[in-house]
Amino acid sequence: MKVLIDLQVAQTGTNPEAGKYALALSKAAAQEVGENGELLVLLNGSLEATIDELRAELEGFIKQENIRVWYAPDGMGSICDGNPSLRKVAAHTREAVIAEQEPDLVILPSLWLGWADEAVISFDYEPPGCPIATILPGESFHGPQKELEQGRRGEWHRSLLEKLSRADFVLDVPGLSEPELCNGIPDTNRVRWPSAEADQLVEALQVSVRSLLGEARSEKNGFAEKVMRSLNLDGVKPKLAFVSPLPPEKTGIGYYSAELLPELAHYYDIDVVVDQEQVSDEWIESNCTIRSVEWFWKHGLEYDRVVYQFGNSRFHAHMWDLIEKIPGVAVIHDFYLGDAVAYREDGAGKGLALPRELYLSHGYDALKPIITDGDRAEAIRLYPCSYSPIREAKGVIVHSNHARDLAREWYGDTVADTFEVIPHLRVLPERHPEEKQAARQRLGIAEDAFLICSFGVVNKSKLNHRLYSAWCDSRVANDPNARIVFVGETPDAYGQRLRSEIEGSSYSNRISFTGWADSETFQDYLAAADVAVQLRTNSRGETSGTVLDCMANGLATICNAHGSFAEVPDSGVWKLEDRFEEEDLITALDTLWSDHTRREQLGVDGREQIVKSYSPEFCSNRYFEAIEQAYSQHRRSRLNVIKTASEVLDSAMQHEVLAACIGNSLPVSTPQRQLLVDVTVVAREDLRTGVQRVVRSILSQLLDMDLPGYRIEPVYTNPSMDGFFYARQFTQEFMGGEHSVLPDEPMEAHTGDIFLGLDLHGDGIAAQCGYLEGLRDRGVKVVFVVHDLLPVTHPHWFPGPEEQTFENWLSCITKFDGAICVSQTTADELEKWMVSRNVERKRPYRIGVAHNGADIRQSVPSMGLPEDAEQVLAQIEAKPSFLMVGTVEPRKGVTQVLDAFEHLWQQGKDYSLVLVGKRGWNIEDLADRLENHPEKGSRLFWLQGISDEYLERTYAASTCLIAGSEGEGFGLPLIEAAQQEIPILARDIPVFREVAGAHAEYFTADTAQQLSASIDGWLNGYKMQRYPDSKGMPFLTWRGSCEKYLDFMLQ
Amino acid sequence: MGHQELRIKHKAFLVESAFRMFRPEAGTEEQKNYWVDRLLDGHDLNDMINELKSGFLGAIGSPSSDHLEARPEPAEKAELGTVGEGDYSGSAIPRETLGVLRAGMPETVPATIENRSSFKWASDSDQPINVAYHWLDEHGDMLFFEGNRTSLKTAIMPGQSALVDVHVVPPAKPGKYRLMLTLVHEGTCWFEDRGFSVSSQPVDVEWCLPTSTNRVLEELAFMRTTSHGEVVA
Repeated sequence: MKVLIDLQVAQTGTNPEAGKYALALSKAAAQEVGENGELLVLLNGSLEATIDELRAELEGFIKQENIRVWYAPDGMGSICDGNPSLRKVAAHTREAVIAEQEPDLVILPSLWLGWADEAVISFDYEPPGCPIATILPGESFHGPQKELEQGRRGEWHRSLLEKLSRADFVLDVPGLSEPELCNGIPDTNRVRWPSAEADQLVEALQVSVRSLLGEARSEKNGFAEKVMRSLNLDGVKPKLAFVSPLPPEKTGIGYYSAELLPELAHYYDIDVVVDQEQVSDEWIESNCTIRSVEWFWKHGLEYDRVVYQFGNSRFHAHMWDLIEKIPGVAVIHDFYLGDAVAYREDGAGKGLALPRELYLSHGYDALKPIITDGDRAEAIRLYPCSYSPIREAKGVIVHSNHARDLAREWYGDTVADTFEVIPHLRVLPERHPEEKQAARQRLGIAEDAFLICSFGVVNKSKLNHRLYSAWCDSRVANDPNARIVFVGETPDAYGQRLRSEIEGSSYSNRISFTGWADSETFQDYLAAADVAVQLRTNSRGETSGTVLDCMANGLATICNAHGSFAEVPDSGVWKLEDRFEEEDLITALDTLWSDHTRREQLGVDGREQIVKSYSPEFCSNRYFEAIEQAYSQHRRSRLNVIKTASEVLDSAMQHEVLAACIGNSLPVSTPQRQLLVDVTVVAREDLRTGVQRVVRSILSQLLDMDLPGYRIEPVYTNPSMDGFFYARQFTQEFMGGEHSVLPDEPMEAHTGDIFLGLDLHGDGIAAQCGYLEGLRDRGVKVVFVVHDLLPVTHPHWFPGPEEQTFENWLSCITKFDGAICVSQTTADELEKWMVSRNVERKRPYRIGVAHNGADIRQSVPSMGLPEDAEQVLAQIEAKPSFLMVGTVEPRKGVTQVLDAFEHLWQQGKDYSLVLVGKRGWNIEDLADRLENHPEKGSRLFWLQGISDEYLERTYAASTCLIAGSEGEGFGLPLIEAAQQEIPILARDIPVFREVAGAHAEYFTADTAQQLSASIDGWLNGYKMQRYPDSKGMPFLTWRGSCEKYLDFMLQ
Repeated sequence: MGHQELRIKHKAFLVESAFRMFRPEAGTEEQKNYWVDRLLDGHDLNDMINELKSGFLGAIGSPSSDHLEARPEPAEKAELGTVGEGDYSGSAIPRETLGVLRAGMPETVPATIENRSSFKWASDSDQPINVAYHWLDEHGDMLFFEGNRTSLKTAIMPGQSALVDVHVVPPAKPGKYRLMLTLVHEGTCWFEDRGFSVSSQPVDVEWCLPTSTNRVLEELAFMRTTSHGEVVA
């Protein structure tokens, strides 16, 4: 059972007592609904100051994604002094949001809201189709009685009493409700709150809620029937617009529609809407008004019902735009619609239609064939790109469970569960024995011929070559009277090749191709044939009506159990396995050729199955039920809100701010939730810092992963605007695309989405803090990655403003849902910081740990060696060489290490020091020393801005890694050294212990002399094979690291 | 507001900010006007800040006015040779018609930059030269002066031209505008003040809104036009 409770009474502060009760009621309802039901809470986004607090109150009782937020238009105000037109739009918006949730019960704790606040309570525009419960008010709700009879406030009070009388359940709460103030409210639907002391309130609430839900459950079916009855317009047939290609257009869907329309006309008064010059069907011309698409744009909203027939060809190209503005039921004949979408782009002037649909339906993966190879055909072959019509439809009809299974596979259960499966209807033609001969005469086929037909376009998916191959090895081929006719076009190379092969064979006079067959010719072959062979592979969710045509005509039919063919009743056809063996097909052909009785019986059985499961009466009744069911629900109710807005507001008020409120309340959805990944800095410029390596690596893994139910959306922020943007240009290049086809656009996020602050840009995030709080309030989970807290723990290591910038960033990110830290050390530091700053939190803040990955090869490595690389590497390898990796900056301890090596060189030790890393901040003196050092190029090397390839070679040439940092967030060089199996000498700081454990030797050195002794001591141990082995140091791959990110975010 | 008025307004804003930050206790109108004039003449903003910090508040006739005469020429100017009025000759012309841009969404405008001056234009110095732009309204009045900078990847020598992809951010509201490409010698001058040829091109800026907001606007428009009986395709 799904229960929705509107908690505006807890947001306005007008009546704190009522708010407290409402919150307690919600918690009791959550416990009562339990695992088998769902509780949704609705909050008013305009009362934003209360949202985080209420979310905190409900934490642990309901999932955060079950708290929905809707938005009233800006400037609405209260009832007493606000804008009544905007209030109407707000009321309708709120009701549409409720209705789209399809609850079984709506609880409005208080109706007495809105007079002097921005709450909106109504149920006038989109009745939810379920019971509504409210609390009987008392004096504390609405003030003294005498006030109520006067003026506008009295009028308002009376309207609320009228609403109260329409509620299905009224909770009578002792101490809160005063029935005598509400004369005339029926007693029959009252649910009495048991009297309770304060300490028994929870139990009392649970009893009341249990009672209420019980009543609501028993009312549920009655309500559904009431809604269905209300759709019957007093016995008058609803007016229906049927949008489809029709004969004489060369599409099977046109002929299907022509067969369906007479049956559907029993239920509806039908106009047909066509994008063609003329219609050549007698029944349609006589019984339907034929409308053009242009006319339909003007008048489409006047119809009671609209049905669209979608298929994968140019004949349907106009329907995508129509269904967006004039919603209706979509009948999806072909689940893969890429060819039709491509035609929209190429032939109908809808630029970028194909990449947009691929991206909308399937995310970035689907763009790969186009952006990397320019191969549209491959993208169309691989991806259905059919989400748009599904999203825009009020309901969806498909013709097979297979098509619904495909929807489940590509778009998820929530989408697939709304599909209705209605088989193709088939009119059972009358069959007389003489018809066969008459048809043969017309076709020029001998009376005694044994005719095998295969119906439909000749292409690879129809396996026509396998029929030919089986024929060649069959006994039936030896019968000089046996023939095969392929009834259908041969539009592509496959058909041309088969045709040539057959024409060059000894069967050329007994196997023929008809090309496109009109309706009469098609029917003649159905009548004339002895056996039909309908094979299929690579089904794309289409339903072939041809098998049903064969069965309806009493034709013995062989097919294989592929796609929708698997759903044809076994007894009506000779059904082969999906991946059948050729001998099985040969057996079927030979048996049906030789056994006349069996052939006849199979034909009879086929007709029987058609009567049972595909009759026009049965199918059209299913159509009627499906259409009425779709129209009884509240999908696409945003258009109803738009209608109200256009009626009550003048055009100057129909602006982008209003649109944003309605759009955020009733958004246009994607089939998957979004995982929004902030890549602001990397998208602008790759500076190859450690942080950016993490960003690129994690992003690469996310884009590579199959994450059911989620789409990865890299985003960035622009300092001059509010909010984030989809980084589409960057992502297409990042994926290796040579052609970027989709532009960047503003980001939008809604409940259930996740925002991952992966990149590090303190000023940028602080500037967007308010925007991110809005996302949090809306139900978006916001999580940031924390690499270290060094700018606040060791501010002297950083330029002046950095500390404050970092503090501001931390203050911002700790307002949200949690942080992923790259080490336990960093996580501990973050916790300490939050305590020290007394960070106030209303909801729990989770801190997780995900070590960085360390597989250079998987982190999109850079390549290239400078000219002197080999010489330098040789020098490094020639002596004991100690390597330091990382930006050369104060905290890295380079100065002390250099001092230590100078001490060692003075002692005559012939060791090398190799520094790899770019020049950092505030190292002018150190940089001078390094650039001008007498050992430079001899025993001292500073390699700046080198590629990953060069770095890997440098590791391999070195004896030991020195990790001299006084503070780090992680310590990637330790793991890289371990991968290269070179030993490690690390400063004894917590994060190095965490990363390297027992696989490194540690030093403590306050002076260079102490450090030089450690280095010397280590090398002596090294020579005697006494040193900790870095080999075997556990580390994560980037894939492993990314999985930890996902575990944390999806928890 | 004309170009010159906008320049004055801009310089006045900088002077106010500088006094507020470094000399909040001081700043007569005469002193502020003094600095506005100096900045309009090409005086370096950083130098102004340093002088305020060191106690020199400006204004002709102030006790410290000889401090000005004693100040050496910035070393950077010597590198460029003698630069005077009219010595920033050149042009910056978009290579394609601009068409329609989206509000607030960064765009790349390919442009040809021609150096007809006597000195090198480069971005890799302490007072770099960058490409920039102004936004004007459709009538040519200045709307937004300080366009984002695009650095010159390679220097443009006197007498040479270069193709530069200029990074432009359109205004945040839709409408008809004109884009004026120019160059700026940071801390010294805007090129058009010193002989650079500028022109402006018309640009239509349309809304760039999230999908759901756009859709609602489309649906509102559709609802309005169907109620008036006009066809929307």
